[in-house]
Amino acid sequence: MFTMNLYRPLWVVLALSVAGCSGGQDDASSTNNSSSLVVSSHSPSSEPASTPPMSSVSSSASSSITASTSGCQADIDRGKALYNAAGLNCTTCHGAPDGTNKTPGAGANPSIAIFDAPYGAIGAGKPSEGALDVYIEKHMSVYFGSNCTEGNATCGDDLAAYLYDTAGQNWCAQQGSQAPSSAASTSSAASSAAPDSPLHYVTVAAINTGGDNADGDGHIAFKADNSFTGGQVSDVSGGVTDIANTKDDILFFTERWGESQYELNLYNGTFDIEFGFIELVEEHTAGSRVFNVAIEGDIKLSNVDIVKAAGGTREALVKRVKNVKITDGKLNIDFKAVTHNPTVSYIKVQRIEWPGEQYDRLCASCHGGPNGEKRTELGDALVASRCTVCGDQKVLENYIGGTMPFKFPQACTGSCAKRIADYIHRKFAGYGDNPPVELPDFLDKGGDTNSCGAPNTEFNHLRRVASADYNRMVADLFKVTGNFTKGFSADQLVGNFFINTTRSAEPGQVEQYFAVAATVADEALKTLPKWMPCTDKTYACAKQGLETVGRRAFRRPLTNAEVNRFMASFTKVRQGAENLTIGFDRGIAVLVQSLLTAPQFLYYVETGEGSGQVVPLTQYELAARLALFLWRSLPDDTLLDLAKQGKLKTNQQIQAQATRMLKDARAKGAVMLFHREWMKVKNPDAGTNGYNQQVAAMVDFNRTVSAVTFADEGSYKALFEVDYGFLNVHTKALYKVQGDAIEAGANGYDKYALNPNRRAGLLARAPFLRSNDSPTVRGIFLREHVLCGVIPAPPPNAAEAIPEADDSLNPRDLFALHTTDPGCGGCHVLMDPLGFPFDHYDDEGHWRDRYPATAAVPGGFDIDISGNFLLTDVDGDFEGAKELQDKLASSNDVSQCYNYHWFEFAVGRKASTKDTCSLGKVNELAAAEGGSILDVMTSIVLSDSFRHRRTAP
Amino acid sequence: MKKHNIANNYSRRTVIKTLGITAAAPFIPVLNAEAAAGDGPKRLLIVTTPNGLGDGATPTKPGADYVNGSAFGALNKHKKDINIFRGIDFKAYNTNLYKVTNSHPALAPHLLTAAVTERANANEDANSQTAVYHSKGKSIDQVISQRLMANDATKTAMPFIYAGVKTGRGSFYHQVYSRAGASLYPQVNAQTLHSQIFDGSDASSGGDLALQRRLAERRSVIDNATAEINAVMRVLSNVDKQKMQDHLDAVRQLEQQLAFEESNTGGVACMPPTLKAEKGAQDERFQIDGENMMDMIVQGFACDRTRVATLMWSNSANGIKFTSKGLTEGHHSYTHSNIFSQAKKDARNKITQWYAERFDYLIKKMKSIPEAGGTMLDNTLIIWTCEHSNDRGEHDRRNIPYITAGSAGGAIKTGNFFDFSSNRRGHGDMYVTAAHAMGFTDINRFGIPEVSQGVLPGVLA
Repeated sequence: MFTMNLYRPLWVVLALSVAGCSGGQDDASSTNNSSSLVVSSHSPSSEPASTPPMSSVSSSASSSITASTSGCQADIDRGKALYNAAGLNCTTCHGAPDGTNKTPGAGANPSIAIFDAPYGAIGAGKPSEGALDVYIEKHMSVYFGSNCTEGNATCGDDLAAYLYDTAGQNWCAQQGSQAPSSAASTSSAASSAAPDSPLHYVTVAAINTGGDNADGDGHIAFKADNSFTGGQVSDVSGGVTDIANTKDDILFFTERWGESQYELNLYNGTFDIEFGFIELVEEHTAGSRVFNVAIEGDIKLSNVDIVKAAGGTREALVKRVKNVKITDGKLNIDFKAVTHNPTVSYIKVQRIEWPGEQYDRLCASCHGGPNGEKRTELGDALVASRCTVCGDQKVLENYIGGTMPFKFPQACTGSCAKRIADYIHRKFAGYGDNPPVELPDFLDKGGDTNSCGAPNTEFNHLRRVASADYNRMVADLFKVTGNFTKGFSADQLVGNFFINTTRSAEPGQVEQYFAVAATVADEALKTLPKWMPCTDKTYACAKQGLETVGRRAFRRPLTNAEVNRFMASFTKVRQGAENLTIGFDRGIAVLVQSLLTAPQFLYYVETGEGSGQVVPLTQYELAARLALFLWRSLPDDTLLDLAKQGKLKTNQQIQAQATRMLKDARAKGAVMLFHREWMKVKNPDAGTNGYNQQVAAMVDFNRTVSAVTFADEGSYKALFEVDYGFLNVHTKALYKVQGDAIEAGANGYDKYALNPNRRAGLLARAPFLRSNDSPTVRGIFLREHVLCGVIPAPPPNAAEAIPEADDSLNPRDLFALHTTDPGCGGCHVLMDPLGFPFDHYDDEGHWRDRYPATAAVPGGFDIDISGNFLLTDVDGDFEGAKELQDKLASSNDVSQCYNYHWFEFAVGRKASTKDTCSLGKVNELAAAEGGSILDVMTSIVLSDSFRHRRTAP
Repeated sequence: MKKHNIANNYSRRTVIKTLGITAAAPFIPVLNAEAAAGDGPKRLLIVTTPNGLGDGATPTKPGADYVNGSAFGALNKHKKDINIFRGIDFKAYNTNLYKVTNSHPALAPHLLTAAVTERANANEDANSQTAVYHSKGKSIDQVISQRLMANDATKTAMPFIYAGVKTGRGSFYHQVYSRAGASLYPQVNAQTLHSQIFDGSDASSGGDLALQRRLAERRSVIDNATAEINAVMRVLSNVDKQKMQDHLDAVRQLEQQLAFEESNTGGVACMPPTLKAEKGAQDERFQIDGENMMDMIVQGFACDRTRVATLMWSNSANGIKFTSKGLTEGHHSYTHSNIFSQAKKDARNKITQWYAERFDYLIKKMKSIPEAGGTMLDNTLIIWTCEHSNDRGEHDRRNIPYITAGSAGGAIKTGNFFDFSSNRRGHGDMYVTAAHAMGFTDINRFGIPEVSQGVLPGVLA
């Protein structure tokens, strides 16, 4: 028996019947394949074959190595056959074990896929229901028929074996080789001279004996007392508050005393058993209570004398029995008196992690799973078709031992490397008999013009207007001013950009469209002369107005059907009013609202021209994209007229329009918006410290970006080098600028030279530093959004891994503590050395010479601004933000990454490999034109991806 | 706000007039037939505050004789109306069922749904640190709202109010789910929320005639939008159709709301609360904004515009500086790095105090409104919680704070410290209990079923 299980609990069970469970068992070898492959072949002291626990057909399974191997594989094969048996079977409801083709639940249950997340997680368990095989026999038997019931041969076991194995747990290894350490020691001479890295243990059972569910140290959940016979319970939690020698006080408040036995359903293997003991009777002294603990029939702890060993009463004593072998699926523990009642306060059962678990802990965050799922660009998948060093197991083992995990090569050596290499070869696609998988290349964000051929582009999902753009759009249409979007829902994100393509509009947002349309309509009535083409209050004028402004709102002429529908409502509302003058206005108001709530206004509906997988946008759609990208608003009449005439076709025509549009003030707004969103710059909150400074710093940020782009016609380099700013009295104080302005500017913001060592480049200005206010966040931004690198997601227990620290440590040293674990540090080397160099700037962007004082260190700490680039084209060490930005400015990776972000912003989605040619051309063309930011923008509108549409994803 | 003669403007309507919070007392009692008939309607109000609480929120003695922790002094006077819970966990995390990054974006969607949280946004980089996480279940407020709206006897003009106090627009707000995978953003603009709740009673355009005309115009606009959506739907690719369908569904919901208002001439109109202007330091503005939102929720309840509301204070990982409590750093920084230093513990307790004072305001406000059988508080269940705790470490997923006030019409025993430390329960069970208190006793599991056991023992009256 085993307790680890992976099944999907079937709280909603659809009718399921499996014909297959009735057959195929007569010749089954038992589930007990524990005549361990490794132990019996390498270890002379190996036990004789054990007695199978459940079955009477043991003879075929026990004696030979080959028999045990084929036996366990036979279990799996039988399970697979059962699972997929002809007719109605497990797949009918559950689909494939990975959840594909599962039956959608008819009721509240969305699915009953067996390995549906999170149940597919290896080692996930649901102890309350017992083991998977038991569960199947208990709950599925009504569907299987009477042949797959508890105690009836191996139906449940076989299915469980198959499911475990499919889920990536090496079933045979678990059944056979139970002691990886001993396996390693017997084979290490042949494999590697490297010392074994420390072993990791996983907890498979934890019982708070005599007590209730409780949290142990290290986030181990102890279950309430169970699986015992005999003994009685004491609980001193009311009277005792502190137990010496432990952090797990709560476990020691209770005990089971008297002679007792525990029988835990586990599975065959080798385990360490840890016991927590305490003497709760204060009158007891050394010798008062002495007892033995037998495990699997052998006395493993003899003459336990807690007071003597712990040094007193109410002091914790922890004893660990290592390498207990279980061969009958159950762990049996007997507490026997020697001089007085035995006692126990907790029992914890651990085993060395399985290879799959080891792989998950050390490798999976970069390399993904056996079929390449969740792989990252850091290292790619380890399937045969992608991995260049994996083909030879020995080579792979040496590679792992010598270089892996990333930046922690000593963390998996010797038997660890061997186990993982073995695991990869047994489990991963393309090795041995495992079916191969082909995975696409990752997108090269710099693109590649060698891939160019017929126009190609990725699918654009339907895009809804962003609240960031709405005000500009209605201002362009109706010459109204005001902030109408205060109650709008948050825009969705594409990368760092607020672009609404990923999900449907929230109902509350749709309501807002109507409410705001009414507000705008009332405002638009006040500005009628500015946008209506005529002044008489007639039906004909209203229609003319609708057609004129409607063409801009819908980015194309209205159809007759649209005009007729809208004008009908105009007439109805007009005639319902007190008089025709009021009625005209109300009718216009309804027309305005109808335009602003129409999907043709709120969504970018694109169909393209002609048929095929990739089609050119219609002329009107292209005009709309140009205006959305370069102005973040609606096309003007010039663009719409050109579209009507079909004059947005050639590169020259489009380039001419882009050039014209970039001279419009709205282009400045778009460029500023791009940089604010890319750098995650947020507006300061009213009422915060230094609010006026921060507002002025935002003005500087916007103006500097604009000046670099338009006045200087600078490139991305200038963003990291620009050493002037537009400052007022507040920002002069913030940036410690004295002396005269270089140039007078508008609204009290003059142009000044800044200290190039402290404030050159946008990354050294307050808006970026305040919005990205910690070394981690700054480092992540640099890695992911300036270098377009990848940082795998932190492991689930990331926060728990952080050790308690004291304030006597330098913040950087403190932080370094939690990056010593290979599971954490391999990723942190990618971001921390890019974030800490900014530590001369506090979370509001003020310069500081030292880290602030703490209670322990009143003088504060020195700031260590040493940094390091890794996995870039400018690798190497540097000091501080200035050198960091200089390196960025010299990096081709950064140039391509910057252009990539413009591409996202322009096209409104992430790029895929279908955009490789376009990206390559953007980089090539922009460079050829001189590489300014304006060149980049113009290059993008000429690209295939900008001008085409894929008709289906 | 202009003063209106409600009675004249809305002569056909019954009027509930309550005053804004600034004027405490005089109350013109209810003319509303339903309220006069018997028990007031049951309401559910969820309040979330970010970044967990301090240890000063935990009482010292279990049961009815509990003694409030140091940060909860402001709530002493409401002791008999309040319950405090301990031993409630995000159990799915604890049992290792739920291998999701322990980050704010992943935790917030789990809070009110107790369901599996995963990256639901296919366009996000799988490994992006800012990836948007979504829940695969509905949140408790939405579940209850949908139940109430499905029944003519409990249906209201608005399905729910979801107010956000300075809630950010980044990836941290995902908390309320009307269906799996689709989070809602709260209404963060007090004026907008005001018109959403009280528009029917806003007589600024003058009288019933104006109201009738506005309704007629709205109907024209909604009918046009519906026609256009149906027309556009025909040219969309299949993958995009769902978005337009959802848009259409939302328009239909508005149409139903309009129909409700057109037909419900015996409904309620009420004096909207007066919004206070924000001024002062960041946390003062935060307070004023929050009070505006609470005023509107309470008044929305009083007018029976809805029976379910959620109030989201800011969002997880926010950096609001509580300078009125003498704090100099943002809230988030007090929950990271060496968090059990005395300075950080003290800071968290001061912030907890601050939120307790706001909770006090809310309770007082509800108590000031008499309803059949007592006050509005008696007919309401308020649940206050946070997306993580700071109990044993950063982002702790155990001992999630839960504080309730009110009894949902006597369904809940109040005045207790319920300590489940030795019988730990998943937070879904809190919502099962809430559902039972609201009358939906068929809901016996909430969220991930393995870690939901049912009603919390001893809490229901």
